[in-house]
Amino acid sequence: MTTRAMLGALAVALMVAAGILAPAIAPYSYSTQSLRERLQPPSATHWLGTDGFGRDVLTRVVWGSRVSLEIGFLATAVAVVVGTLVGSTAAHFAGTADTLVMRVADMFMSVPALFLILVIVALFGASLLHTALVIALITWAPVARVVRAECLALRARDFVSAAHALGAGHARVLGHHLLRNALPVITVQASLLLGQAILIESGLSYLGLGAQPPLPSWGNMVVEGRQFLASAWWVATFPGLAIFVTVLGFNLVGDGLRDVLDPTLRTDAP
Amino acid sequence: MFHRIATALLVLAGALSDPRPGLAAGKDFVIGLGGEATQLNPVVATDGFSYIAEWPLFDSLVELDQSLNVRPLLAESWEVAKDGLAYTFKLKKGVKWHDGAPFTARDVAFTFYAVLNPKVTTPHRAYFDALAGFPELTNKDTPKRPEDLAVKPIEVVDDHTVRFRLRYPSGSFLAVLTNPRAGIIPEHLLKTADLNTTEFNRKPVGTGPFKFVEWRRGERLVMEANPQYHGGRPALDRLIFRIIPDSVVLLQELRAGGVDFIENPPLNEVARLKQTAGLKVLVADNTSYNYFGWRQDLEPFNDLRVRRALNHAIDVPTLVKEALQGYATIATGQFPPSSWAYDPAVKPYAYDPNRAKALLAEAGFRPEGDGVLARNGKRFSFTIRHDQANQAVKDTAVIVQEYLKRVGVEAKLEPLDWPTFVKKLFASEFEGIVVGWTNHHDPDPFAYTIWHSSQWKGRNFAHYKNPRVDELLEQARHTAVVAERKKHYAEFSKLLMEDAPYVFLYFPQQVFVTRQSYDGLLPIPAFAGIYQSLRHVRWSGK
Amino acid sequence: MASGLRGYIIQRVAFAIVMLLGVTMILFALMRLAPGGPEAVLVGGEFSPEAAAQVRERLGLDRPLATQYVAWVSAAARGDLGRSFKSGEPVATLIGERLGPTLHLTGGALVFALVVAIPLGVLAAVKRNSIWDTLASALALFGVSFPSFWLGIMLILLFSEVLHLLPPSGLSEYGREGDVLARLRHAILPTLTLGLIQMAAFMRFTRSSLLEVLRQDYVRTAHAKGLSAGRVVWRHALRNALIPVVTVIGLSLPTLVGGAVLTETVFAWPGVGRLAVGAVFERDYPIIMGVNLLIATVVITANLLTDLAYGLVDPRITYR
Repeated sequence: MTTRAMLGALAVALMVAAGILAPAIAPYSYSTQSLRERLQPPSATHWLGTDGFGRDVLTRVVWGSRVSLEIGFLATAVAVVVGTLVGSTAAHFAGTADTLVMRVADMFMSVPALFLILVIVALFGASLLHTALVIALITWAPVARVVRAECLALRARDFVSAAHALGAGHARVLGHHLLRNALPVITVQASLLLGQAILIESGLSYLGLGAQPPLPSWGNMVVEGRQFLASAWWVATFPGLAIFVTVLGFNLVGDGLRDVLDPTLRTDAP
Repeated sequence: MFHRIATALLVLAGALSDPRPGLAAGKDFVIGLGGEATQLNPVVATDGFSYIAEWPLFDSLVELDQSLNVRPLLAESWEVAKDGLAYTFKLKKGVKWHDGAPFTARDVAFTFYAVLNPKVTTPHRAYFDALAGFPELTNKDTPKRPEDLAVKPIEVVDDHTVRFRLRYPSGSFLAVLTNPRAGIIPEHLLKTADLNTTEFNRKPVGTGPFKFVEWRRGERLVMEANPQYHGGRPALDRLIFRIIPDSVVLLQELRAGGVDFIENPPLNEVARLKQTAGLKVLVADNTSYNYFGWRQDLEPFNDLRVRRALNHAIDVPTLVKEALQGYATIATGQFPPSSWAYDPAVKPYAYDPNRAKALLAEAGFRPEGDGVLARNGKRFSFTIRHDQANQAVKDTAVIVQEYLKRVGVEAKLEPLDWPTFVKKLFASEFEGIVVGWTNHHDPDPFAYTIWHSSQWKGRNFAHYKNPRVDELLEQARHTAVVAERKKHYAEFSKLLMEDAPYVFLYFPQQVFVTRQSYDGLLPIPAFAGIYQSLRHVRWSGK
Repeated sequence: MASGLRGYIIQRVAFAIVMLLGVTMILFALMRLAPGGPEAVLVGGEFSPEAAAQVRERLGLDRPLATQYVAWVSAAARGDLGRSFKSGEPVATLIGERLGPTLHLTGGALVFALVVAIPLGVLAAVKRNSIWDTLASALALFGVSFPSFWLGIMLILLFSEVLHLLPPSGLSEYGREGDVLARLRHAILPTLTLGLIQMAAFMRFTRSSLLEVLRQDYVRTAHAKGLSAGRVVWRHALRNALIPVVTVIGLSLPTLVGGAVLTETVFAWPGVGRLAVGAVFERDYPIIMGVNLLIATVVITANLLTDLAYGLVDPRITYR
């Protein structure tokens, strides 16, 4: 793995650790307000300053790591699982099933993402779980495409026909042969998706959706902090930096993985 | 080759950085708004942005001055009959519509009959409850026509005289004849139109100081000076409303010179804006207030001790001073301090979390393991619903939640988008809410519809009921004598505070920022009142 | 063979139409399921259940769902997309007015992204794992690691507040719509914001695609024949590597036409994206369906054409 990818992995690991350890390492509670101490610059008592309600920014960035990464991992997990299942099944069975399934994926992709999200949130409300599911809803289809392409290529190779000839059932061919060999592609997709999910969540916060206050996510912290950019830059900048570092990290890891596994992977193929 | 590219880029940069505006400095006034008008027709429009845009285009019979007194506009003078049941207005002569047609009393009659017409979807109907024949004319199923009534509510006496007949004397009648809810629309253009959907709503014609020029939806609305305006041609040539949804970018546009006027900037920026050379900040009180409310008929809110405890639990003075930077007044009831109905003797509940806890203990609540109170096995936990798009309300809700937590009350925030929120609100499907009332400069329209027990299907969705309050509101409605109304409203305010159906929170002030070089803007302590003075705005050249 | 081809085309077109109907039907149903309706905006601050009911009746919302859908589809087939609930303006006009600005923005961003990303991708592939590769990747990844509204506001603050070079938002200045230079100045920041974000995907893709092609036999043959490295890359490899880029562009079609909502909101750009999002928040169903129809049509047609092209070009595909 290149140095770049290592650095990316390090950044991600740090953020994940912060998120997991949040209850232990956060100096304050993320919701305790102190209106008289709002918008204080970084100091000894508040390392990253306080926000518009007097809450400690460091605490909220650390908890925000937990929330943003929770949403990111959940969304990615669902998207990858669904996308892989759909894509590999389509490739394996081919023919009409393939066309049908991929057309459904196409339909998902032809409805503008935000539409879908807004409708679903209006219907079911905005919670962590819903946010994650909604992000998965708009990101599974490209995963399915990629997995399908990879599986189609694998299918054409000898060991699959050999397996069939030896009498292996569908499930075995799918699970043991196709998926195992498609794993590298899936992993790369997953790491890229993680970064994307965090960005989508912050976009949702901008529109008033996403994780809802007082729960801190990096996304809603940046949105809340924007109005103070001139007078209290720290409120938006630190969570913004956290997003940047984490997403960059995931991207670097994804690129690094791709380079290691096989630089000629058709990971963005149709 | 590198050399040439660099030169080309420099030239391009030079050409692009010429900020010479296409607008004529001083003659054009650009107003930046965060949202867009719906319809430009005072009879059917329902939202704040439409009200703002209509003001320069349409006149009303009378208008407000800075003390919220009524003064002539399209009506030169008026006489009130001794029994208070007839108002005769003499209209200004020589007033013309933007298309040149003459303005007459028939336009006035047409406008208000349209408001009364149940086929027209208008939010202003209830304001004219006092007009004779109101119940018959507005009946949904069998509405009468004005010709069928024995006493017509609106009579065209002659081209420049119009008479209104009331069915009970009303002190608020004159007050509701002002913009933005009572602009006059032209009969000759709309006689046969369906007011709900007519093209006129997008290409309006009024008698106001500015004429409609163009409306590029989502982008801008442009108006130009009306040279025939009866009050004299405005000093400005053009008004341009620009729609900029992002409030941070809107502020930047002001600083960069892209707009000349904005309303309600982020309050933390106001201090900095005051120091900025070339800009000035104008502030005015307002009639609207934000509150934390709940369903009065739900447990445990039906317990007076609980309601009072909730009032003691929230530190409104600190909220106003710190979170709102002092740009708000503490609310003690339905009326803003600038209203004549306001009674300074009514005091809000002091911030006293210990008292709150004591009251809750008295009501039978005991803290559980995690600090949240419970009574008879039921936790004191409820949801607070609010509009997710309103930043001030969102922030207030977060602060309220935190104060409640400190006394052991658990409130879960549930932001909803506007259509969902409105639906649930008026269906009374909520436990707690944080929301605001726009209110009116006259006490009656909102006080009655929010607090009278007959209005449970309307604005009284919180299901408040107090027979004495009902009496007082009816009495105040049916008299025109200010001293009497004042007395009734004083007792009403006192009762309301004792009953504590809300935590009334605060009246946010209107804050405007504009360029030093524009004079003439006059904030008025009523909703969007500053836009009334657009016809007086002129560039001082400084 | 000819009848097989005709059959294939008919089958594909029919399928496309079915998909179009499917997409619109699903969205139609979903929208109606969302609580609240346009009456919230139309009746507004003085809301009452009677007024709300009156509005719903006037807009035809009290009819059964299927009836409403059929009415909409039959009108749409005739080219009538109805009128906005909120403003009463014809939906086709509203979308038409916004399409230009959206295409300028997304198209411009796409061009920018390609113009910058492809050379970067080539550089990174050709000088794989060198400092150039790192720099190129860094540049590409920079844009994609920011939320677009954050990047947008940062750019606005830099170029408007600090440098006083560019206007913060808007399409153009009043009175200077025809002025190309003014429009260009206004378009720079939003295009940059959107373009920087799209750059990464294109760069990454060009790089990996080119790497794959460079390893293939015909390239090695070209080398063996004595062609210079430069000629090999530019003439043989790149052309083949770029074919899949076209597909990636195809993937961004919905955004191209549907607008980049966040960027349009930040920069007060009067595009289709903002129109659509506003319509969802206000339950303005005709606009939502109109935009949905537009995007779905574009995407499905593009897929159809691609299918047909492959079918015609690739002899291995049989027309079943």
